[in-house]
Amino acid sequence: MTEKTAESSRLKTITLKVNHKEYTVDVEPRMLLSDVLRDELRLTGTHVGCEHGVCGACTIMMDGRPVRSCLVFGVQADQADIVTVEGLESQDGELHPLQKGFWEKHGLQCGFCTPGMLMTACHLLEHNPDPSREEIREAISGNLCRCTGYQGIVDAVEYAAKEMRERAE
Amino acid sequence: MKYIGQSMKRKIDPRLTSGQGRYIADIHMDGALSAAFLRSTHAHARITEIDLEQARNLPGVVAVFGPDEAADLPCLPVVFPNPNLISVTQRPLDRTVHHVGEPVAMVIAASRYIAEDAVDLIKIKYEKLPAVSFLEDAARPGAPLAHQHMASNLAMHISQSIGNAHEKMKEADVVVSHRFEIGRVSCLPIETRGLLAKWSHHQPEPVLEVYAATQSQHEMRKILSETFRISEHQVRVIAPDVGGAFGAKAPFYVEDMLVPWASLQVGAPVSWIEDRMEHMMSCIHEREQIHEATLGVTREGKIVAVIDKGLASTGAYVPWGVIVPIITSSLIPGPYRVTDYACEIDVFYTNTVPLAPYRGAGRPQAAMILNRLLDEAAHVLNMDPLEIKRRNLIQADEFPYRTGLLSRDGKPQIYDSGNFPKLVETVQLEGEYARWRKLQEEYRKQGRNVGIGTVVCIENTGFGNYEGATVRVEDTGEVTVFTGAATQGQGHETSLAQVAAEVLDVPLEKVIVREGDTSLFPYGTGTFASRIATIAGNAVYKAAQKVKQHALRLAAHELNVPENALELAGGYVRKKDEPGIHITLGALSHAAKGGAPGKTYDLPTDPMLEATDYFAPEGAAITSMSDMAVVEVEPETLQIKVLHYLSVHDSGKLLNPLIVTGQYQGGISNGIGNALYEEIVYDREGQLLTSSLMDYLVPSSTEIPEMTIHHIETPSPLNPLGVKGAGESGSIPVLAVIQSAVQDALRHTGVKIHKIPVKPLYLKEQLSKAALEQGEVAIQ
Repeated sequence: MTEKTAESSRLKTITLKVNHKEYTVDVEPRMLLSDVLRDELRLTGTHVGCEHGVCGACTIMMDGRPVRSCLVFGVQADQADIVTVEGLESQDGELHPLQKGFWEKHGLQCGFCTPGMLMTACHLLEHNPDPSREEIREAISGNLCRCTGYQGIVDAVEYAAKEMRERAE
Repeated sequence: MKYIGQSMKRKIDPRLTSGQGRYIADIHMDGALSAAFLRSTHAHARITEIDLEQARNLPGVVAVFGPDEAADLPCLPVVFPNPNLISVTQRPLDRTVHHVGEPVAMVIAASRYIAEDAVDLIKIKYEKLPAVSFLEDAARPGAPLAHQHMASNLAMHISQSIGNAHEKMKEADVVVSHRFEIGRVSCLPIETRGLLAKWSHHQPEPVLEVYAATQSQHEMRKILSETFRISEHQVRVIAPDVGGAFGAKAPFYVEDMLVPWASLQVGAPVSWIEDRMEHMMSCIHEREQIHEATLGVTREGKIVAVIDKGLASTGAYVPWGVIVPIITSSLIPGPYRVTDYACEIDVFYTNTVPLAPYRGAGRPQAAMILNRLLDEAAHVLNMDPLEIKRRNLIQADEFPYRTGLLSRDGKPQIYDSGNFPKLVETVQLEGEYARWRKLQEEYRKQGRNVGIGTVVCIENTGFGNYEGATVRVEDTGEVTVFTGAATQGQGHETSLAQVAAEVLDVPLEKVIVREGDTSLFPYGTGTFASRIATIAGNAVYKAAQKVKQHALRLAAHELNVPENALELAGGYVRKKDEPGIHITLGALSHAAKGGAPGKTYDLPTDPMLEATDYFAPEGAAITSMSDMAVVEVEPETLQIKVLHYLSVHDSGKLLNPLIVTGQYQGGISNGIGNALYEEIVYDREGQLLTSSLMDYLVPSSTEIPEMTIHHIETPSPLNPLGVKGAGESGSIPVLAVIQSAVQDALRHTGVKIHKIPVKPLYLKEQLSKAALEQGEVAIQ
């Protein structure tokens, strides 16, 4: 057997929906979902900060739940519906209230943890439209930020919650 | 002012919040290969056998390099030479390893997955050598040697003094001593290091292009050009978006040499992205120092003399000289009037990751020493700890203040300006210090251990040598600013744009700052030492002033109006009393190019509406701060909770208060991690025990308290904008203020807090010791 066929026999074909678009890719079973998104689909907005599930930078929404894409194999995401930071903007390119909040309230500095923070905060606001600062801190405590000291992030999530409530009214 | 001093939202944010950032790992280059390193599992050992064959034979592997292949590569350069320093720098893929995590072989493969598979196939045998890991072990006579060619582990002896502290100490009414054991930490940006190197041979000379997560692209270019013996114009280093740095990305590492070298060997682009475990075991650490310090004061609490004796680790090498303990030795007196001071610090090599500046760079250690000694003296004198600090401050009318010490640049240390008493007054007022003292008493009656910590300290910011900037008006009327700096989240694209917008009176959105690329500006020192706002900011200011003069002269010519009748406003040059007579900056830029080809150039100004200028400060601008923390120690678990945190900062004139406040908050949060949670731990043999984020505790949003920040603005007389640095200052007071508060909370138990970080387990040990000592006293 040639090398090529040995390699291709290891590959699995998966189909997944990312930001409303369907993709079919051949991946090695050991390939992390974070690498599938970044290297195969070239969606580099999802960042990898630790590859052992602590920093939260790689957080995405998978079937409505925030997951660490470095702790999921690509093959586990077969048939999954995924949203990454690239999918947060509205179709006409308007920033999501959270993205706006992070801009308004200086919720980011280097921006590396930001995509994961946004996805986690997004999940929080879907389930709790009016969180207290304490609840926001609790919700984002699995996402590490080394630049901001978190205060700007908490301000940003509060800002977005308010804006989203006002829009809903 | 319209732009400078305004809290303007950052220009970069819409891009970074929508996943459009371009960090080093995001850059895709066709045909790029991936590198992975085999790293030493021993702290000190000689490689006796290394077999790369099996790794080389793995499908997908392009090359494997070991010590033999890399034998001709030079040691890393000595970045901060010092005549008293015995410098040992790292050799890429050396046969002898000096700390766990040092690269010993390198695989280049089609993917990182395959490269890591191949790393596992490398067979290697080591002969273990005696290793030294603990700082106090390294200092003992007869200790194992970190480097076998040295006679001892001593890298440098640092000595600083004012007056005669040993004699003067005898005159003190009260003498207190304290031991400080300061643990080692990692800078830990959320983005790790990484680079992508590509050689091109399609031009008259070979050209090396390197994308790197670096704080200092020009320094990297210099070292690469020396390594490959090509001139600097053949090397281009680009820092794309960089995901935080805090010092980690300032030094030049062996991987920075090996990746471009490997790219040359294999004839293809090579990328390497550090993983987190590699970061913990190969990227610089800081803070580790031990001090025994003594303070003598009068009955009134006036400082008589200060004596410090310290040990500092530099790890296995000196990637950044031994700047850190030098800074510590020069800043222990800090904001206080100290006439007699003696400091001796011995710096030792150990078989651990090298130490180099992490945000704060030796200053958090310095700030601890005298502030904590003053706490202890206040306790003996039955005086308020903030009051004793207030009594010893340098006064606002004493600037410029000569301390009698040498600064880190070897020149006499002079403080340019400040108002330290006002910092303390603001803490008392805004922190409601008196109210918290009353509350503390009430809490104590309820059995709650609440403590209040205070600190006053300084940062010498904005060191040279210089930075430059080019400010150019484009034909579109936009203004482009090119600098030799690079940003890792500090928001230069906004704050530096504000400076140009102010001088030229153009809307902020029309100013584009370009940096982080050696092809954009000839030279830059780098983004560290809280220097960019001060140095690059003033370079932008000076260059923009030149452009302004240029625009006025050219407009006078074009509009046929005297120059002094003109002004810049909203992107135009217009007649002051007749605004209808005007010309846009874009039209002036077009005119400055001199008209059609072949036309004789007859304008009264040089071609192009642009100017380049440099700013070289004559000395450091002194940023000062006073922090107050209230902590509670839970009696059973000994968990420490920060109930209240206030910081009053004086960074001179602020370019953008929103950004500066963010810098302080981030610095304080790094400080809280450092003070309460984070510690890099080695065992005695030099094995790293904290190599993941499961064992190295980075504080999350539930550990970091809400912080109240107040600004005082005492302009620096050393630069036209009056600014001082702000990048690192947030982190500097925190070790002192947290230890001060915990000590205060537990003062009644007789416990002595020496260590940083202060963790529950440590408190438990210290409390047991205190109970034992008190028991013995009782028995006597």
